[in-house]
Amino acid sequence: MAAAEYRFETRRVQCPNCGEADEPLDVMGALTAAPELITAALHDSRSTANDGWTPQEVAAHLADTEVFRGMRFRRIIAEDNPAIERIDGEVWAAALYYSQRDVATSFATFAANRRANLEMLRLAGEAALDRLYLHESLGPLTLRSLVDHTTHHDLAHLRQISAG
Amino acid sequence: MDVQTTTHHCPICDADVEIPVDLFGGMAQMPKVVARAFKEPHAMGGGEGWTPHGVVAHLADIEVTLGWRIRQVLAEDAPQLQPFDQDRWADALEYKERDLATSLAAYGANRQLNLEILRRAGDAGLERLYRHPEFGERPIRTLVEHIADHDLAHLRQIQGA
Repeated sequence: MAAAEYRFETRRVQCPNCGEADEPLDVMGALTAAPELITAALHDSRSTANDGWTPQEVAAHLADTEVFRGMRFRRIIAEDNPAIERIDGEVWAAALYYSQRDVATSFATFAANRRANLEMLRLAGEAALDRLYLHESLGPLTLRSLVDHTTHHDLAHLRQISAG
Repeated sequence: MDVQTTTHHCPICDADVEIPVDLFGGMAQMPKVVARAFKEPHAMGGGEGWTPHGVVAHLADIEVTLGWRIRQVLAEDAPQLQPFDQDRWADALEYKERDLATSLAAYGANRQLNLEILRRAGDAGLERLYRHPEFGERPIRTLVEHIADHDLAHLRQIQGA
C-alpha cells in the first residue's frame, strides 16, 4: 500500500486551506519524496475510481497543481502580499483534458516542478516562509501555510490511491 | 540555429519578430536546443546582467507562467492575467544561484506538457481570449507566439549572437 510506504511521522493539524489534516514533521523531506511515492502508487493502482478520478486523471491533477503552486510560491516570494487566485479543480479537469492526458508527461512535469519549487523555497530561506499572501476568502495567510498544505494534498492523494 | 523561423508581427511587442515556421514543433525543440547551446565554445557569459544559469532559470519560470496562463484561459472565460516584474523575480527568486540542470528539466517538462494541452485544445483553444492590463484583450495564440520569439531571443543571447 502506498500510504504504508509513507515513512514520515505525522501530527494532526488544522490547515486553513483544507481543514484537519495529517502533516509530516519533516515537511521538506516529505515534499521531496512525494513524486516518487505517488508515481509508484499510481503505477500500482488498479483502481479506476479514486474519488471518481482515474489514475490518469489524478496524475494530470497533480501535474497541474504543482504548476499553479509554483506560480503561487514565486509570487509570494517576489511580491508583497499578492492576491492569489483560486481554481476550480473539477472545471480544470474537464477543460484541461485530464481523462486524455499522457500519464508519463504528467508524472515528469509533477516531479520536475516539485524539484524546482523546493529549490526555490530552499534558496528563499526560512524567513520567506513567513511572507504573506492574500487568500480570496480566508484573508492573509503565510507561505508556510501553503507549503504545509502541499504535504496534506500529497498525503491525501496517496491515501486516495491506496484506498482505490 | 536548429529551428526554421519566419518573420511575424508580435502585437505584444509591437515589433516584427522571429518565430518557428512550425510553431509547436519548433517550441518543442527549444529546451534541447538551449541545453545544447551551453555546450558550444562560444556560449554566452551573461547578457542583460544575467548569468547563463540566470537565463535558464528565467526560461523555466516563464514556462511556468505560460502554463498557468494557458490553463486559466482554457478553463475560464477571458480571465484577467496578472503581470509580473521579471527583474524582481530574477532578484527575489535567486536566478544567480539556481541549479542549471533543475531549471533545464523544469523548462523541458513544462514545455512538453504545455504543448500537449495546446494541441488538445486545437485551433479553437488558441482563439480563446485573455485580458491583460498591458497587452489588452487578445487570443492566447498571441501569448504563445510571443513566448516562441522569447525563446529564440534568449537562445541568440546564449549563443552570443
